[in-house]
Amino acid sequence: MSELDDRLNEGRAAIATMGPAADLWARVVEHSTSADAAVLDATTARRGRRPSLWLAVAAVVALIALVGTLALRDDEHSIETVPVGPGRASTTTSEEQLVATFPIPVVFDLPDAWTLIEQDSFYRLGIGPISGLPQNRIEFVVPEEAADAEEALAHLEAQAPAPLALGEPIHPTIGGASATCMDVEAADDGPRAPLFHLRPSHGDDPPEDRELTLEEGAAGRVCVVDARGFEGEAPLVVLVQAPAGALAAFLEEAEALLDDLELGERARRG
Amino acid sequence: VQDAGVVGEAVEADRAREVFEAQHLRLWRAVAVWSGSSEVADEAVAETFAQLVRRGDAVRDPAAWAWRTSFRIAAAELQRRRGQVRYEVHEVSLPEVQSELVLDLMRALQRLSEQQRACVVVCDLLGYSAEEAGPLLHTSAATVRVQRMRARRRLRSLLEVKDV
Repeated sequence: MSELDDRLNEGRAAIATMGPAADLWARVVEHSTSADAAVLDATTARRGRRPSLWLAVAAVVALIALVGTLALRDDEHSIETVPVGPGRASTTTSEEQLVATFPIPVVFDLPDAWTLIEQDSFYRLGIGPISGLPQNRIEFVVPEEAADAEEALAHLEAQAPAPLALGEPIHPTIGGASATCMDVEAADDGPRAPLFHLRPSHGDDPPEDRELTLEEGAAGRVCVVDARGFEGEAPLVVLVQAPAGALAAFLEEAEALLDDLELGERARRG
Repeated sequence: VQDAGVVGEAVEADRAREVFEAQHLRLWRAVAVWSGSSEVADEAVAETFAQLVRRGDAVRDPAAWAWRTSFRIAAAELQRRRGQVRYEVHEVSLPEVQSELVLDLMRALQRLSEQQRACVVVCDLLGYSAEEAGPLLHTSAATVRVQRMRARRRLRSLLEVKDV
């Protein structure tokens, strides 16, 4: 046994004596029944969670996603909050808020019964339905291979016609920024197809699975967003993917989300 | 006659309570050590189970969901706090009489990346295997093993200890 194991065992013994507040379940009940009162005030949140000087200087950090004030939603498109932090209860309301960590501020409504499925430090933000096909998801990444949108597109196109099959490009705007989107599939049946690597930041070790991949049997739509001027000097890549036969239906849901997405508070140039 | 909605809410609360009883202590300890704050752990775990009550059957694996959600809520809260105050590891409410070595370990943990810290906390300090920890941390067992290996290497350096 190593000296480190000795230290860890000592820590383990100490931790075994720790416990939560005695009224923890009472807090659960209180939180679960007081959602309306606990809805985060959008104005306060925007102020309190605005990227700080540290974020701006480090140019790498966090994002604040505020949704409530952004869009009026159809009645049938109810919204539910995802975890935003202690004291901010989930609720069905237009005051939706989502806070996640990602280099480029992204703001979007999270549809009912969707959740954050990947928020792996600073590398990847993934969202998708809580239930249903697990491959159905939207991922937002900053690619390692490209300093700007042009390079990101060139990197994608260099992978066609194999290992990726790309469709004709279309040019929507996403979050107010120009984007280029293409349908994408793996050219051959086979294992997961990587599109990009994720850009490491903060000096941390990058996650082991640091690829943006198209899952086996999946089809998708990949969008390269020119995010310059949106507080992140990097291209943003958005991948919507689902099993090939289910993509069309999932794209409708994804597009509804992306139509209302905003790239945070626009950075002031200069 | 009881209102059907009330009955449904009671069932969801009972189910959440069962998961809470089975998981909350180890989950709380994991989040407390991972975040370095008992207060953050209290709030994150309470909010997690409150959301579980509200989500009801929409959550397929409530135990794994609770772990992932607690870490995410704690991460969001830490992110918020770091912009406001200097964050101190002594917020963890360890017993008063505590070895300086343990405190050093807690401080060293805070210098690991989030995922490395989660892996070493869940595996080395709470005793889960990599296969068990993977679903709780929303990653694969292989990733847990790799991140844990890196975490241990970094801890050896930070604590200035060597393998025997």
